[in-house]
Amino acid sequence: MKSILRPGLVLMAYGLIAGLALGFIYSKAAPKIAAQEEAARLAAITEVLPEATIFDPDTAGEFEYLTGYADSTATQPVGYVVTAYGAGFSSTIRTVVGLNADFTISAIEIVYQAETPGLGDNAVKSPGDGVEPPFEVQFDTRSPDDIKVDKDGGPIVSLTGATITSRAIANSVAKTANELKLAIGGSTGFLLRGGPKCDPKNPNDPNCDPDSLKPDSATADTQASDKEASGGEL
Amino acid sequence: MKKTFKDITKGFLIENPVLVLALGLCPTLAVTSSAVNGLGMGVAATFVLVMSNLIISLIKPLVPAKIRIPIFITVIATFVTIVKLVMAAYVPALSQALGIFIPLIVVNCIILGRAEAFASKHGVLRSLADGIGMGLGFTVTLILLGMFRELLGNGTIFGTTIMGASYKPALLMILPPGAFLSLGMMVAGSRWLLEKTARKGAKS
Repeated sequence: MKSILRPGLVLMAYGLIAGLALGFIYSKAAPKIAAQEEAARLAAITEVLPEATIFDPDTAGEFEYLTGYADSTATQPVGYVVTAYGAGFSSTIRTVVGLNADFTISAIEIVYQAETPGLGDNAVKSPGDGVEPPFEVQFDTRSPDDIKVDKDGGPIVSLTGATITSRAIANSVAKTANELKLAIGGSTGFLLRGGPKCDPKNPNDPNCDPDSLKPDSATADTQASDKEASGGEL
Repeated sequence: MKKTFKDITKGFLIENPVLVLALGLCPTLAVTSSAVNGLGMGVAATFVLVMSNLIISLIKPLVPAKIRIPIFITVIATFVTIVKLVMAAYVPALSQALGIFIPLIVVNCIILGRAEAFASKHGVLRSLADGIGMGLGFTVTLILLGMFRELLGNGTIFGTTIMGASYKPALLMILPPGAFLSLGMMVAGSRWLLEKTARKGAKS
């Protein structure tokens, strides 16, 4: 009995010391980490919508976004900023998306990812850093409906060896941009998801086809079969 | 003093952790898709290795033999978490660059291997030297491997284009099979070097 109890108690003591040390350091570091993340988020917001200087937090339904204005006297927004979440190969990728007032993409900035080093994480490389073509800038000025990776027939050139990562970013950006368009459009007038306006007075309007209202189911189903080459299990 | 110096130099070739001891192959194969990644992993692992060797050689009289492994792991994991937290709080740029490598350090068996094989049996100074030597040997190996794979697989070294535009990169070298191929060649090369020096030593 003693031979079991003693090592257990010693181990407990070590665990206690380690736990206390970590708890102490975490309590000191956590507010600083939060502040750093907030600063990075702000930098990303300004980067994806450079025309705006003032950002107002807004909600539409459950949707949280920022409305950007050129200056404090402006009444018309120059664009919107929203965060997109995409399930990548080994992390949930957070992308800050800047949209112009007409809902085309102004720019995107990936703020969090833990994808495979050398493959998926090439998504955040800036132009001139050895990734050709650079990934993030391919989204600039595109309409959300236009955003698809090349394997899905779109214009976005996938990252080499990281189809799942590329697709996760492209699809989450397109989906979030379309949702925001719908959410904001919904408060000012009737607008179909990503499609042209439906005229509710005209029963024969093809834009009112209920099929075009269906959510972006295509985003999820194509991913499972595609295996990504990577050092996935470490 | 001579022994301490030898503890540092042995990590490069004679007891190179990757090529000779075959420790830490998992992170080695996974992250060496570019030279910069190899450098990042090497630096992060060296730091934790030196610190864990130091602490384990200090607490070694207080560690019962039966439960030494869980205690070593506790020390290493605690240390890795501290490094991660401090880096995220004070140097976010470095934390961004090394982010993925930090959690990988815990599964790096070089660190537990050196704790068990060296730091728990030797004094503080030699354990420190061993940590530095092993860490540097690991880092150099990872950089070489990363440079080789990056050059063949992407035509660049440290992001600078080396191969001309006509060079068609062999993508295979960046993908996992390239890691095994390159590592195999490097192990063969290090064996050849070791045997050559051994023959020279036998002759003289």
